[in-house]
Amino acid sequence: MSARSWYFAASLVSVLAVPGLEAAAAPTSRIWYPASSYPQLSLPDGRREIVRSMLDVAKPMQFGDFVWNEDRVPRGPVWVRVDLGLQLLSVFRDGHEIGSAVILFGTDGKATPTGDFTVQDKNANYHSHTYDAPMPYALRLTSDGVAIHGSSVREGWATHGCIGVPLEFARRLFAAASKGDVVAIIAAKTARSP
Amino acid sequence: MLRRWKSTFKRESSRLHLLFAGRTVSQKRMLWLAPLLLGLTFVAVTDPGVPALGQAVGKKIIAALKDPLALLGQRSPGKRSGTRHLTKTKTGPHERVLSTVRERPAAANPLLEAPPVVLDIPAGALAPAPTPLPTVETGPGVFNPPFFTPFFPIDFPGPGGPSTPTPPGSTPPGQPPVGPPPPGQPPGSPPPPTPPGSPPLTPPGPPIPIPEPATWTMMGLGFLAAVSARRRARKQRAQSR
Repeated sequence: MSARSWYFAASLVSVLAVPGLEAAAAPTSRIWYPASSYPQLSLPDGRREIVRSMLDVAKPMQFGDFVWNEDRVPRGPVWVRVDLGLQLLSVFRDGHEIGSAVILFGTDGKATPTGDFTVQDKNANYHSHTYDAPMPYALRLTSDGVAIHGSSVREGWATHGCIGVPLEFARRLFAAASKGDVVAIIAAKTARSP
Repeated sequence: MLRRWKSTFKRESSRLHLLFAGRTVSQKRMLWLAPLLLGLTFVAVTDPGVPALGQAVGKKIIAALKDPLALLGQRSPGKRSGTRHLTKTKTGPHERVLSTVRERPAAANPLLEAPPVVLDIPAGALAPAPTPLPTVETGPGVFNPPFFTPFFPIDFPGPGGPSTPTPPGSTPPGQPPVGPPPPGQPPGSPPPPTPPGSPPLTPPGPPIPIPEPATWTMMGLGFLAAVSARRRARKQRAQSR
């Protein structure tokens, strides 16, 4: 193999592999708030949760994107904030944001309910009998089947009331959340900071 | 002014050459990495998390980032547009409707055109009729479940034929009845040709192998063509040298 061929092969490998390595090796950085003045996020029922740190995502995320970084985040209570107006879901553990993703939610007369919920049930391989559709890593929120589950998140798509997140994000969220954890679904018009 | 800059650049370039002169390759590489290390050190020192940074700059950055909702809005793909969104699945039963209804013409069915076969079997050539089943007592004191039949042996034909010898001229069970051979034809000869219109009795031939021979041939020709092209190119390359 000539030197030119080796150079071409090395260039091809670098072009194909380096972006993937960079994406895998570089976790999302974090913005730490000073302990003297932690900001707070309000829940629909009036409660407030302090925020110790947030993931630093500089640019707008696209449909199907998500970020996850739980390095140096201690164990603690987990709660999930779903903002229908921003089309975002954020996972907090002990006040630190560990994950965020763009979501799909309900439309056409089957809107996603808003308010404070708790994770009632977990099922990694749930298959909906009503819609005959797989709903992997489902975290059920209501008795009538509204859940957070893995989905193909594409622009212009919607659900029948569930909250769809990317499959890999759903897997991580499924591992992080437990029964009884709080899920706050905030309507599009009432998402305000305190 | 330009001349002065040029002379300065030449002087600095000569100094740079002096810097690299007389050093090994590894030392030269280290010298090239020095600016990079200096830049990384600068970034590390000026990181907002480092307490040595001025308090004013840090406070300004923190104040700008104080609202988590501002961060969420920064990463949001935006509000949902007003266009109609598609749901992934639809409710309702899953049905499949054929586009057209095809009807086979009656004349094409060979079973309907076959003439009735009249069997001329002499009396007593067939196996004797099975003995009638014993009657089952019925009455108020007898247990008589529905569909109850007494056990009796049934002679199933095995792979090599029926277990009981079949009398000559009779029809073994499980085979179509065949009449007596016509005059002039010895018994045991193949059956006479079927009348026209009756279903063919010849068994289907051996199945065609998949992939078919034509596919194998085409694949072999392709390999040969590729090999010959490569050999030809190699010969041409050797001749050109």
